[in-house]
Amino acid sequence: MPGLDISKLREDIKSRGLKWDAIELPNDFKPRGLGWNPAPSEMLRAALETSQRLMVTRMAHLFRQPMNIGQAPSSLGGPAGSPSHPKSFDWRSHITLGPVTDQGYCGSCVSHATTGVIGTMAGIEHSSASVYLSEADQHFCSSHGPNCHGWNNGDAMNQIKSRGVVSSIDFPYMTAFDNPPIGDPNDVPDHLWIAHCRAVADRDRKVYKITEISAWTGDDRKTYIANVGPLACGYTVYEDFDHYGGGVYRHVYGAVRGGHAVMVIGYSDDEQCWICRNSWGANSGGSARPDGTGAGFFKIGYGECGIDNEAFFGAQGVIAPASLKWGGWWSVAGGVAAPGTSVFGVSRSVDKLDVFCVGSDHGTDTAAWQPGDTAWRGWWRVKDGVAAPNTSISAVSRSADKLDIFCVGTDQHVYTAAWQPGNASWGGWWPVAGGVAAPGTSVFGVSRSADKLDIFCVGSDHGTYTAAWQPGDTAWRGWWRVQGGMAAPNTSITAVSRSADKLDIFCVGADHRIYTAAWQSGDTSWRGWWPVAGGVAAPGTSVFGVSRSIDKLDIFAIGTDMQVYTAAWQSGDSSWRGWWPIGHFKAAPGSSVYAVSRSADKLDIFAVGQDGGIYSAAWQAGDTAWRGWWRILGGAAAPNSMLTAVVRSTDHLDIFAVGTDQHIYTAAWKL
Amino acid sequence: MTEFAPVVVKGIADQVVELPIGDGPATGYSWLLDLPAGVVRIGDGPAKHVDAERGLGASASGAIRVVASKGSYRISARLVRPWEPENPAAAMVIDLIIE
Repeated sequence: MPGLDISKLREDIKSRGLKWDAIELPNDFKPRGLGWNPAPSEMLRAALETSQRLMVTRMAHLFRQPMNIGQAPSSLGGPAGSPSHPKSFDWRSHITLGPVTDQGYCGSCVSHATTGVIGTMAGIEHSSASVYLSEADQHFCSSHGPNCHGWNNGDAMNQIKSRGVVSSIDFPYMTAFDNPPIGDPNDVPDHLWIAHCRAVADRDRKVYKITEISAWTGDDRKTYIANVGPLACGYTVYEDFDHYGGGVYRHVYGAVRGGHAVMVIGYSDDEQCWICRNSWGANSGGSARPDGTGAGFFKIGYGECGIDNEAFFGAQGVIAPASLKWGGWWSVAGGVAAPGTSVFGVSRSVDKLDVFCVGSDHGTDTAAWQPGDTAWRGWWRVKDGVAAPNTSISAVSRSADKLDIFCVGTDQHVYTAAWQPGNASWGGWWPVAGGVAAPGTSVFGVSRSADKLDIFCVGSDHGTYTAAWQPGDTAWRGWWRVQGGMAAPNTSITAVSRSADKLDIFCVGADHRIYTAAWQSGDTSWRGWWPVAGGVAAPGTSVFGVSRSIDKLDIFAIGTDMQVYTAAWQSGDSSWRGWWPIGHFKAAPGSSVYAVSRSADKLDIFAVGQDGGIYSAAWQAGDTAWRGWWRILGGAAAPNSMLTAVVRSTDHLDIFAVGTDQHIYTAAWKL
Repeated sequence: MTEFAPVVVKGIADQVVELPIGDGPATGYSWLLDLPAGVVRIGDGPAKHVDAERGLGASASGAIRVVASKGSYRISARLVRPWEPENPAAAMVIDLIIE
């Protein structure tokens, strides 16, 4: 077997009409004989099986309309047009990629490729620079284990989905090895570099995760790259690839080295090649060239070296760690909530917080915090109230320092209680005009102007009802049926007052479509129900909304695909705009998305993810897309609960969750 | 750079001798051998079995093999990348005793 003669290699490249250069070898690089063995077919076969398991059959499913496109799909979660791809694409023209990494003498290419993909996706999805994620945390601390053996892209992606990966700052790659790297002389080359997993303090709060993994073959790979982001691929490396020096690599000859994974950042149909970022250091492939190769980047021909034998893997829905401005999670006075309930709160005046929960014995409980307190005070039972299963207590502050709360009692009747300064204890519970609620629903209310209360409930017949109270009334008025509306089981009606004496309410109808109705001063009856842009919600979820400034409405729903969507309306709009998906985030069954506006034209939303994690996303005027999702401080919520939030002062948020241990927790964020 | 202690390998004249090194995973590194006169490198040994689950990044290369006539030889091996030969990842001296 002849040695790898670079002069001959160059001649062969030329004679075959190939378009890549072989690097000139150093003078002391001596020719040597080489054995040749075919690529291990079982590796490729297994890779194909893995890719088939993950294959996404409907391409359009992945592509969703960005926020600045106003055409509404017919229903939430539906396909949004047929994507296509240009003749060439290179992500380096669109985003600053992270650094070209160097795996050294370690078979960690899969972790370099997959963290590269996800770090780049973090930049794309969060409209920021790419994030340099820790290949060491991914390769040596995951299910792969602390060694330099190889891996596969599918399992690696799944590890990032399940356990996440920290940033390179938290665990730099070379710190996984001794300095200099040492190995086992009895196990060369596999243990030439012995790797170690290093513990990362407070890791849960530092990880990046993904929510979706997909695998692509054929031209779908180009469509994905051009429309979504980079991919991780695998192919077989031969000896001649070590000498790559620019152009479009095609294998000529040389021994097989083994399988290799890289990040595919683009393609060129004119050159019939993929554009890739290698992980062999910034000097691999020679110096940077005008054709975009070198300095760690290379081009490889379509179908070359078994690159088509394994699907290319992509990842979407990058969940970043929450901002350092978050603090928590703190127990709220040791409170424990009943299963299937959530904690709602209100700020009755600046920096004062009152929260309400159905306790583990189904009693109606409250706790409070105000400036100067070093801990939450409570829990106090509100007038011996006992709530129906799977319902929550909601609260409204109709004017400064006044509290009104609402719950469904064990007899399914709707009750209210009230507190105001000077009262030694709560007043109530008073039944609200004989109203009876459907099982599994809660009563929500709003104050449309000072000291006026309007509440909404799904009645025992699943009709949509409202009742009202205002100063001077000796009793609640109502219940009035809102325009014949019928709500789906286990949903609630929510309300927003977008300006004084205007009411907008939202519900998931019996057909699971999302509807709205409105009332304003002067109306003799409610207007509506109107379907909101054809949206259809997942069973057992409710639609919450917020007014981020006068006469603007933003509402949030979980679609039938469990993706979080938003729709918007503002004065002058003839119809609702939306639904737009918010990132690639899927919510837990039986939860809903809660929204607040912490100052004018800013939106913050909170949801429980399918892994039970507590997540947030944000938007503010000027943003072309939602930012987030971020996981908040490693928190996790109980099944069938939702997160709630309170704005206690401008740009100061407090959120509340029922944890997996049913204890009540809070976290806070301040600009 | 990892510098391994010298290794002694014994063999029989004109028969294949397997050295205790082989090209590792696809990292750009390969062993550069400084072969003394009388020692000839031949085709590498059979490729190693690669576990499919760990196929990307695994070394598939077989052991490096040589043939030599009777005598004692010292082989210097350096693990280098073609584009940065001055930065070997490892070095090893193999004392080859052929009887």
